[in-house]
Amino acid sequence: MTLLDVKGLTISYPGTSEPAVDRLDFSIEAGDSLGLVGESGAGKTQTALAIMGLLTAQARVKGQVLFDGVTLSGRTQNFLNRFRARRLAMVFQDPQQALNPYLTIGDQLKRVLLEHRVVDARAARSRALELLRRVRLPDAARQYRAYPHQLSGGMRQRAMIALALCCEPELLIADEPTTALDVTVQAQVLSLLKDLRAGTGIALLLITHDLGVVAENCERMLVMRRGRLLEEGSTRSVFRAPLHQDTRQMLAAAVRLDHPPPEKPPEHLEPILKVDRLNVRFRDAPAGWKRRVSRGVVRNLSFSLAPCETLGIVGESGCGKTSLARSIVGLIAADSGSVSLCGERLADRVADRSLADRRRVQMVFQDPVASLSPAMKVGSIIAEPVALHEPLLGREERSDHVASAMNRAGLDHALLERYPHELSGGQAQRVAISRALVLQPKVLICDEAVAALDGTVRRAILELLVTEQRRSGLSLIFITHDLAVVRQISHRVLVMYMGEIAELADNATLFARPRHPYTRALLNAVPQADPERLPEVASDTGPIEGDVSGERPPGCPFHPRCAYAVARCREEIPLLRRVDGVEVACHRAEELDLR
Amino acid sequence: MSAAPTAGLVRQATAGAAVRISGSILVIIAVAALLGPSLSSHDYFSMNLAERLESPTLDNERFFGTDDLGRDLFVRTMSGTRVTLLVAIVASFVSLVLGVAYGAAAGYAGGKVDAFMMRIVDALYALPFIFLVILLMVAFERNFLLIFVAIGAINWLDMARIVRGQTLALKEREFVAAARLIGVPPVMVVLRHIVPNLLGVVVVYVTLTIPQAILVESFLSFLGLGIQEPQTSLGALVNGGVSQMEHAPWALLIPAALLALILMSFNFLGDGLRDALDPRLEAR
Repeated sequence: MTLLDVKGLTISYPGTSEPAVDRLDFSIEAGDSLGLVGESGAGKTQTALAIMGLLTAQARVKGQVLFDGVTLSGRTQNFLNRFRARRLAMVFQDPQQALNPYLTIGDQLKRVLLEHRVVDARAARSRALELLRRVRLPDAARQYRAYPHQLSGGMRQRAMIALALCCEPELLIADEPTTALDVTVQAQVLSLLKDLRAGTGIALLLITHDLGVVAENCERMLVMRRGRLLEEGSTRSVFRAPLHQDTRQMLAAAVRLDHPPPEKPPEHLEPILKVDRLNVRFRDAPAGWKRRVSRGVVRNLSFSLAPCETLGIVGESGCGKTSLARSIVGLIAADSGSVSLCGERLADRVADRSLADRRRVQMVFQDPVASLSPAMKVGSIIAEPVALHEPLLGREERSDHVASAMNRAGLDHALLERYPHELSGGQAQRVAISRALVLQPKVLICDEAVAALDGTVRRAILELLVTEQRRSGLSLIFITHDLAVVRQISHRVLVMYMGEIAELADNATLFARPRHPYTRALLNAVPQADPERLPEVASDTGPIEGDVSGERPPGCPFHPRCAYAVARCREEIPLLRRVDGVEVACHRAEELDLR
Repeated sequence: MSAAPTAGLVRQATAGAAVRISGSILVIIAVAALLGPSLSSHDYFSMNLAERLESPTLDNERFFGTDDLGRDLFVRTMSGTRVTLLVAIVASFVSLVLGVAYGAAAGYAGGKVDAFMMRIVDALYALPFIFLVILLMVAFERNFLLIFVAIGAINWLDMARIVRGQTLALKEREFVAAARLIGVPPVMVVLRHIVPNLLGVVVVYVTLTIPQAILVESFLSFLGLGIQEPQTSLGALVNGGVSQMEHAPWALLIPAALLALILMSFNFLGDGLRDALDPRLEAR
C-alpha cells in the first residue's frame, strides 16, 4: 500500500531564479524506510516541510502530496491538523529549538496526548512515562519533570522522538535527526529508530547528508541535488551502481573507515612540538554563596608531534579536545605543564608570545564564516598577517604573497574584493586556511575544520591540507569527532576521554586493533557508507550508552560506560602505558581482544 | 532557509520607506535652517516694537509672524532649529566617541578592568544628571560649549554600556581569536576587528540618541538655562511662545510642531535603520 505519494512537487520562492525543489516524484510504502540524501541546498528540508504543510507563506508550491490517498497539498491548516502528529510526524535537526524551553518534557508530551485525545487526563501521565521509556530515556521519571535545557543533546532528541510517537503515526519524517549529535549518541538514536520501526512498522523518511546513515538505516534511497532528483532505488543498488555522475562523486567523497591510511612521514628524531603534562582547568563563575568549583578539562596530557606529521585527535564533545587546541596556541592559559616548539618553551598566553613564536603555530577554526571578520574583505584578511610579520615589504610584494597564498588554497582572485558573507562555506574555509598558511607556520592546528562542510567540499579541503603538508613540511594537528576524516589524513591518532589520553596509536594499528574499549566503541558507532557490509559480529553489546556529561567517576573515567569494566576499573585510575607500541590507559589492555 | 531572503526583502522595503521619508524630512529641515535666515530680509535679533505679535502672513515675509518684541519668527525659528540640530549632533558625536572608546576598551580588557570601568559608569548613572547640568549652568557662564559637553556627558553612558555588551560577544568570536594568533596587538584588534563590526549597532543607537539630546537641550532652554538671548533654539522659542499662548498661539505652535517633527523623524530613521541593518547583521 502506498502511504505517501509525492507527484511533481515544485517549490519556488519569488525573487529566486531556480526553484528550491524541481518536479520531485517519489512514494513511500507503508512500513518502508526511505533515505533522502543530498548536500546542503539540495532541497531536502523543503521537501519535508512541504509534506508537513509547514512552508512559509512566500513559498509557491506546485504538484501534489497524497497521504494514504488524501491530497494534503493546498489544504487549510485545520484540515492538515487531522493528519499531522496523528498520522505523520516529524523530528527536526535541532531538538533544542524544536522543544518548548518553558515546559517540562512531561508537560509537552501530555499536551500532545490531550490535544489529540489519545488518552484522558488521568491516563496522560502514565502514557507519557511509557513513551519516555520506549525511547529508552534513562531514568524516565526524572526526565519527565526536566526542562529541555537540563537534558543532553541525545536525550533531547529522544524526547523529541517520543513527542513524535505520541499518536502512533504511520510515517515519521526525520530531518537530519543526528547531525548535531556525537557519533556515539548518533548510533544510539539510530538504533532506537531501527528498533521502533521493527516494533511498530512505522514508515520512515530519513533526511541526511551522511551516506553512512542511509546505508545502515534505509532500504531505499533518493539522491537530490539542487532541487532535482538525481537517482532513486534500493540502497544497495545505488551504492553498487550509481547511475549519475554526481552520485558517483558523492559516494567517492564519503570518507570510509577502510580508506587506506596515508603514507608515513619521514622519520625524525626531534619532535617539532612537545606537549608536556598539560593541565587546563575551568572555574565556574562564582554563584552566590556557592564555592567556586574548578573542573579539569585537560589532565596531565603529554604528546609530541614530528615534523611533517599529522596527528588526529578524536573524542566526543566535551572531552577537552578544543580546550587542548586552544591552550596549545595560547588562547586559554594552561594551569600547569608546558608546550614547547623546536625545544623552546612557549609562553602560556598568546599575548606573551613573540611574533616569531606566534607565526610558527597557527590555527583553523570550525565555523569558517565566524572565523573571518564580517567587516573586512578577503584581500585584507589575508594581507593582514603579511603586513604584521613583514612590515618592510612594499605594497606589490605584499600582494604577491597574498596572491600566492590564494593560489595554493585554490582561491579565485576574483574573490579578493568579496566580504565573508558573500562566500560559500568551502571558500570561507579556504580563506581562513590561506590566512594561516601565508605565515608559513611549522604547526597548523585544525579544530573541526571540515565539520561544517559538505562531503565533496570536505574532501577538497582535506586534499588541500595534505598537499600543503607535502609542499612545506607542515605538521598538522587535526581535531575532529569524525573518525573517517582521521582515518584518511592522520599518521597517528590520539583518542581523548574526559581530558585524558585513552589511546595513542598509529593510524593503521588503531583502526585494525584498538586497545581501549572506548576506541572500539567510537569505531563501532561510525555509520559505514557501505550497505553490503555485514552487521558487526561483535556488536552484541550494541552502541555504548550515555554520554560525556556530569561528574568524573572514581577509578577509570570510562568505566560506567564500558562493557568490559571489572572491579579494579571502578577503584583504580589506569595509567597511560605502552602495550605493543601503543600508548593506552586501560587496565585490561593486554587481555582484551577488541578487533 | 529559502524563506529568509524574501522575508528580508519585505522588511527592507518597508524599512526603506521609513528611512527615506524621515531622512528627506530631516534634510529639508536642515537645508531650510541653514539657508532660510540668509534668504529672508529680516534677522533674528532686530526688534521692531511697531510690529509686535503679528500673525503669520505672506506680506512683508512674515511667514511665521512676530514675537512680543517684534522679532521675525520665521528667521528665529530657522536659526533656532540650526542651534538645536547643532547641539544634538555635536552632543551625539561626543557620546559616540567617548562611549565607543570606553565601552570597547572595557569589554575587550574584560575581567577586573572591565568590572572597575563599568562600576564607574554605574556610579555616574546614579548621579542626578539633569540636576548636575542645571547646577553647572548656574555656576558657570552659560555658553554653547557647556551645553554640548553636558548633554554628551549624559549620553555616553548608555553608549558605553551597549558597546561593551557587543564587544564582550564579539571578542569570543573566532575571527578575533584568529587575529590574536597572527599577532595583531590588542589596540589594533579593537580598532580593526571589533569596532568596524560594532558600527551597525552604533549607527542605529546614535540616531536614537540625537532626539534625546534635542529633548534635553529643549528642556534646559525651556527652563531658561540653555541658549542665551538673543540666540535661540527650538526649546527657547517654545518657552517664549508659552507666555504669549493666548494672543499669539503661532509663536508656540510653530516651533513646537517643528520640534515634534524633528524628533519623530529621528526616531523613525533610527527604527528604520535598525530594521534594515539587523537581518544583515544576523546573516553575516
